[in-house]
Amino acid sequence: MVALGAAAVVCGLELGAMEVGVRRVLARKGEQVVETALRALSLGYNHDQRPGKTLPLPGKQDNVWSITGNQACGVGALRGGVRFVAAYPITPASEILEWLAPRLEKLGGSLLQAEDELASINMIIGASFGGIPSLTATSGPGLSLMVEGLGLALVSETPVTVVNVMRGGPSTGIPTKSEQSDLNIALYGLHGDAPHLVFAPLSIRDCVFTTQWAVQLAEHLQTISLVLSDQSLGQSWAIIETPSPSDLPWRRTIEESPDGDYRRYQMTPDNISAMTLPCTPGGMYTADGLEHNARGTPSSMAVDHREQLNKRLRKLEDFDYGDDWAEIEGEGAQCIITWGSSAGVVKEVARQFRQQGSEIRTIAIRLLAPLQRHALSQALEGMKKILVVEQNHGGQLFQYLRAQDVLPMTASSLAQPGPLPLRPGRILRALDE
Amino acid sequence: MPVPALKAKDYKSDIKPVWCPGCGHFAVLSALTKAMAHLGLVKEKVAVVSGIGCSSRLPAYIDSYGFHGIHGRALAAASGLKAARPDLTVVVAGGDGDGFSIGGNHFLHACRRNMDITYIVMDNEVYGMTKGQASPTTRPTWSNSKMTPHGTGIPCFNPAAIALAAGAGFIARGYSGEPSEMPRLLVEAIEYPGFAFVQVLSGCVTFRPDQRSWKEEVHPFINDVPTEDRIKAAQIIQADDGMATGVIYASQYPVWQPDNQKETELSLLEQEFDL
Ligand SMILES: Cc1ncc(C[n+]2csc(CCOP(=O)(O)OP(=O)(O)O)c2C)c(N)n1
Ligand code: SF4
Ligand SMILES: [Mg+2]
Repeated sequence: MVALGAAAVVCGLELGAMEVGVRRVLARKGEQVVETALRALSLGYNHDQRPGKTLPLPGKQDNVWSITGNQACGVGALRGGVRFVAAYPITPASEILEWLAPRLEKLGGSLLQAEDELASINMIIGASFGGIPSLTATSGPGLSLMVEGLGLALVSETPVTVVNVMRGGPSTGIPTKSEQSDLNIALYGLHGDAPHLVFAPLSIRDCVFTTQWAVQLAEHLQTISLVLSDQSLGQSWAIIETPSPSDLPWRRTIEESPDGDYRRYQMTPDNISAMTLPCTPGGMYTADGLEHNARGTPSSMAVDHREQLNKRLRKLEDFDYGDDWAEIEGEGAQCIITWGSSAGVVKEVARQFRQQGSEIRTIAIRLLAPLQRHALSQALEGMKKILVVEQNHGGQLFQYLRAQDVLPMTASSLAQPGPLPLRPGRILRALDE
Repeated sequence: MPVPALKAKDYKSDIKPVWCPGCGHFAVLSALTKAMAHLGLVKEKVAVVSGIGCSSRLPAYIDSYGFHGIHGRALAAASGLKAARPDLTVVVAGGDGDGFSIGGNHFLHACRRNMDITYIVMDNEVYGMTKGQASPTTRPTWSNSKMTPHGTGIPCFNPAAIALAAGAGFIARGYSGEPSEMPRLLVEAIEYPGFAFVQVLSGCVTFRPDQRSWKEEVHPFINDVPTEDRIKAAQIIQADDGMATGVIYASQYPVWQPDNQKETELSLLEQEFDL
């Protein structure tokens, strides 16, 4: 209550107005509680009344948005061309769906509330087969239910995007608090050899770009994109610099007038095969989760399996993802590697470091799979000390980078599970250790 | 020059079915191609969607667009497709295990959602593809599966009753051994505006050779069918032994389809975030 009083001064609010509010909220608790609260309020209010302490009210500003991370993912989805969403409500992802539902309609698209996540993933696969860029949003328990469907989309090369807003896990876990503990399921959850795309937005503002990029790369590469946002990004409100409209070139390759012998899974130099859409004469095929040959006919022959496995791997591995795979800042011989929302606190640590005149490099990974091993190794060259920072218990990114053979043996891990946020002090201590 | 009308065989693809000789599913495939020819459907405007099972192999055998998805999820994939592409004729084909066991929840919700989709379940009261286990429509005393050597002991699922309770507007039952009746049922189902459910008794010669007796057991409904009256339909379904064939219930419910006329641009929508 004392702090509330002090905060009112900073915000330029009148004491009288604050008192009315406090009375209304606490009335039920009795006169004594109200009196004590009002005294505390005015103590805080009168503690420091120096002129200039009140912040100027922002008023109308150009080039800024007021937005949550979940809304930002919604904007990214629409910018990426998503016009169909099917989903089942879940905390902390529902706001993406609630924001999208009426807006999709106005853009000629639609959102279908499914009976469960098994339905939602299969519904968006069906819609995408029909040619409409499609997406769903969920959180850990829902992602777990979707995994079989993701494999189907991947093998039938039907593009879909899943935004997974992470919360404390496993199981029902801590639904309302943030954690970055779904990296493992996102990377390794599918059965079979199933290479696909995994992204993580690095800030609320970045939810727009990363989601758009994920959708358009899923479309272009005819695969699945998983976007790992989390509760701390999704449900926080921020004032951000307006995300510049980015017209990414990536689109699905569509065959509009197939010649006599159309092959849906034809081998091509970039391993991307043109897709026909229903209603196209001469382009008929049956999409299948069964392994198939170039024509799409089910096959259990070793040659077909190997050819299609290679195709699905190479189209992702050989693609040029450019510089957006990570945000790399700073120089020096010390380096923090992080991913997703933890980029925020890591950048704050780097700022404090530089303020003290020290050097540090930060690498915040946005594209987790396929891992840009070569570029990452280059960014790590000459580093004497490497710390991998993330908000989970098992050090999931650290283990992944180890397995991918990009970390020297001296690298160390700072993995702290939710629900408490990572604090700069904790990271600074880990750097000293 | 007018385009010559397509014959049933023109709707068959050149892929050879994997089914055992004598499998009931062949007749369902035939009936579907006859129905498509009768309706003069444009091949590329049809999508046949399925899950997993012997029956679910059907899409690849039809010369149209097809989607052979995962076990139990055919109705979900089809609903997404129809929502996104209302211009298509969407037919879903599958088995009793696929539709009533692993996909049971989607069955309920597809009935109540009432999108314009035709759903054909080839019911052989067994899991054919996985070599003969009991399904939700298997009688409780059938004990020929190694997994349930004493029978399931569980009363079986009544698909028509459940479809009715869940809100389906068109419910029919056919028998794959009735080659002239079957295409007629499917024509009506495809023409019906809304979710049309057709249970087809389609015997599994390999794991249910006992089903050869179905030929003698199927019979027409004793009541006047179809009815538009829900209560009458419920009575007919409950009084029946599960072997009567014909359209049981045909009524009209509002068909669900997203209501979406493009009326704005994304850049205008984004202005809501301006401070
Ligand atoms: C998730 C999953 N579980 C189990 C299976 C194995 N499976 C394949 S088909 C099938 C049952 C098919 O029975 P039904 O739908 O009645 O089709 P039928 O073969 O009898 O025509 C099962 C259990 C599977 N493919 N996927
Ligand atoms: S196992 Fe049964 S259902 Fe499957 S193809 Fe053979 S006869 Fe038909
Ligand atoms: Mg069966």
